[in-house]
Amino acid sequence: MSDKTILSLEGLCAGYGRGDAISDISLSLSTGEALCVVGQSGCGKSTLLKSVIGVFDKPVISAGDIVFDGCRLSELSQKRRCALTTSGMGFIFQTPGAAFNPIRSYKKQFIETLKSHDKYDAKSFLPSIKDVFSRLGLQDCERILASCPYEMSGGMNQRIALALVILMQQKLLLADEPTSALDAVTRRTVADELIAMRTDCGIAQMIVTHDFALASYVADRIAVMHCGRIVELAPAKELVSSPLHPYTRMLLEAVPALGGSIPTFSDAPVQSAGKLIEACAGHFVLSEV
Amino acid sequence: MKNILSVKDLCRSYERNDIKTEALHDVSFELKYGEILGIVGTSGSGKSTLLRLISGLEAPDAGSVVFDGRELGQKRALADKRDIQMIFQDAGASFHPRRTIASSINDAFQSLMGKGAVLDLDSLCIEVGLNSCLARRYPGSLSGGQCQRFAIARAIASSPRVLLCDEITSALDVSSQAQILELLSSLRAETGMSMIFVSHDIAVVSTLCDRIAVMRGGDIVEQGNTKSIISAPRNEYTKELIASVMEVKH
Repeated sequence: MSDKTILSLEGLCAGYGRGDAISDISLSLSTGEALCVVGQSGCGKSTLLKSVIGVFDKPVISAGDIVFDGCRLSELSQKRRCALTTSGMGFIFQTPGAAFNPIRSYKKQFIETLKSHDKYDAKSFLPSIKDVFSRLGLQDCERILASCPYEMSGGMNQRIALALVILMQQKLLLADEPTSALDAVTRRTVADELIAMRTDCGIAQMIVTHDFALASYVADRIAVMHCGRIVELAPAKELVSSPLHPYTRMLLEAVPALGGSIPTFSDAPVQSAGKLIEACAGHFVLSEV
Repeated sequence: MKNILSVKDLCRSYERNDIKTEALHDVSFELKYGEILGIVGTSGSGKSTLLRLISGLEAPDAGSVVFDGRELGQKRALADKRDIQMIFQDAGASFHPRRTIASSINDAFQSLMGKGAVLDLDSLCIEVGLNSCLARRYPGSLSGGQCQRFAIARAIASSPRVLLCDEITSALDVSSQAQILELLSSLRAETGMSMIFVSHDIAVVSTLCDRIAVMRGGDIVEQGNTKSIISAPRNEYTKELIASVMEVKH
């Protein structure tokens, strides 16, 4: 493992008791790198993310292992695993409002969270939140802090959850459809902030999305998942310009282009068995062997 | 081409805790026969309110909805209800969770066409590209894309002339979204149905719609044919919307 590697998955297989929902997932993520996992609903993207989080609603890992920040997670007790996860990883979920207590002010929840990780400083608290909020396009910081999550829209909650991850200065951000509740303009603001998070703060990101446009905008590398397997993994630009797997090509054809014709998607069966082989430097594709 | 629907100076406001919010402010536009009009804007811009007023789910404070030359009141005749059908974002939630899809569709059909009317569910399923066996299932056991197709099936069962689509692909992944867009386009080609397609995603709207109206803060700030809105937007907000589109660069 290189010094810069923050997360590596080694032949991970996991599911919910009725067989594996994901199988043979191997990949690594370096500090400051963004990896987007793209695929249709039900392909196993969220299961993959939950396996890495491993704290709640966790899938059963039937084979393989996860190494985070030099620690082999299978060797840790649940308590230590939990401590390592919550201090080192930040999460943004599809329904970010559900991650907060709906009837407690953001201010109280922010202070509580920062204190529990020894990252609270009374003097710098407000100025740093103001700075992060304004970068995310959130105006009127004090009013937001005094509000409760139930009063906010999905898009607002999504950005406030992102602000907390930035404030916590965690090493890895795990995000499940982080822009799904946002309109086009806000989506772009959040996408730019995700890029700034990794370039300015070196926070590695694993982002699960079905939004190919977001993935190609923010990611260094893209992994395409189908039926629980990674079918293609490559640098973002290369994957969208020269996709090798037929499923990747099908997904790309389904992406609507501004002013373009109606996108198409066929339900033609594609192969999702075999082994991931390196077709050219850094570009892996699932092939029958 | 004549208009099937004209919306004139529609206004609607809501009051909560003595604070009045104007959701729609003097909104006017026309929908031509067989046309697909896209309405784009951010959340809270009034898009959904507009559709609720057109469908008769809510009454406007002022203004009128003229359908096929007649002004529609709040209390709609059955024929008008048949003619204007609406589809919602969360298709799963629009079906009764403890009844099969088939019985929900049949109920809706009978309430519009009269008791005893016979629904040809098999050909309806073929029309939306689904196996009719799936209609015997409950909404919770279907994917978002399948539920949305059934919601379309329910809406077109009464052969409406105007279909109102409120963010119907927003919760779907790109593959299901592409299939729904194709379905709407072929429905229009086969039946000549007019549609209003509301979405926050201008890229999606631009692939399907003939014309686009851009909404902001309860007003339509710009409307025109899709090509000119995309290639030469005039309003600053439209320009901002178009500039913010993230495209896959092949």
